Amino acid sequence: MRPHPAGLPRLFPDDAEPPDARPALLSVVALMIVLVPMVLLTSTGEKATGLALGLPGPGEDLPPELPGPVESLRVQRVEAGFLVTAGVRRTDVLASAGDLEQQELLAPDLPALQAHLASLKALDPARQRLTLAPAPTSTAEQVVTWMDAVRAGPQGELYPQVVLEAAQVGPASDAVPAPAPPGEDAP
Amino acid sequence: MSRLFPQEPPAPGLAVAALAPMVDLFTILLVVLIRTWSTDPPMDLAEADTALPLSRSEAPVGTGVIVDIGPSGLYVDGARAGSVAYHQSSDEVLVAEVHSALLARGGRRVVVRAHADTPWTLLGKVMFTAQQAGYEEVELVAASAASL
Repeated sequence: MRPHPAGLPRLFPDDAEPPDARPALLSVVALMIVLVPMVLLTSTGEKATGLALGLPGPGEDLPPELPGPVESLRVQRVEAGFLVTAGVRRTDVLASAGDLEQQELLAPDLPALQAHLASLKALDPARQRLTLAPAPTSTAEQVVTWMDAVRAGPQGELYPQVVLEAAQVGPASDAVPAPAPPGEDAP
Repeated sequence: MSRLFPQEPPAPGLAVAALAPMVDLFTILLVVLIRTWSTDPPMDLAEADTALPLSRSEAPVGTGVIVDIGPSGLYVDGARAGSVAYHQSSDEVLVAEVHSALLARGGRRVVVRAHADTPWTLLGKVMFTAQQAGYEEVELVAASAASL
């Protein structure tokens, strides 16, 4: 220790040796060498995800949603893009009867669809459910993409509960039950 | 003659300057692995050329009776239960073989693993069949966009 010019001991000695960091770094490296192969061995690069499809059981209805300004909401895949059909109440939502305005909004692409849904979400933030009706020619890849798009948009969460409307398949399509209760999500 | 690059004996011990980037690299690698990899067992798809649709969702896959819709066939828990080409063009909404197989297994949840190019008509038929077999929950499996 370098002595004080006046002969007094220094309060903060400035010539102390810095602590050796190598043992700590070596232990971290050893831990990583153990951890990384263990993660590689016990995991897989194919991460799968499950999309719950809102489907009622045979002869059952989906639970009703809380009453709100938007009574029904359905997105249908059409040739020109997506057709959003929303039943919007123009009177007090607590009234048992009132004017229901059927709004039809055409979205040519997914960003336009998300913009329409965001405006409806702003009108009724409590609503969580939406009915999606793909076209018969739609593929599973497209359906999943649309489900992702209607669940969350650039401005945040939209409608996390997506009810897939049963496919219209041939002459026996009448046998397919409606996935939503009457007046709930049906157009 | 003097050497252009004189060889000096290396300093004994480990160089801290070499260890620090190694720790950084391992840390980044570990975070990437934990973020993108899954601890679920690898999926054993019924047909090897099945490509699952891609989704941004990251919800885990539930357990239940597995229905595979491959490029050429339908499978229930790995056992073949029909042809895709036939049921795709058929007018019948109910897939009888899948229905009987689901009834035999019983349960509450069906996990559908469909090929990305599966038409919605066939996917809807399988979903409808699962409903008619008494299954309350139907889940569609997709590949997470977060995977490597």
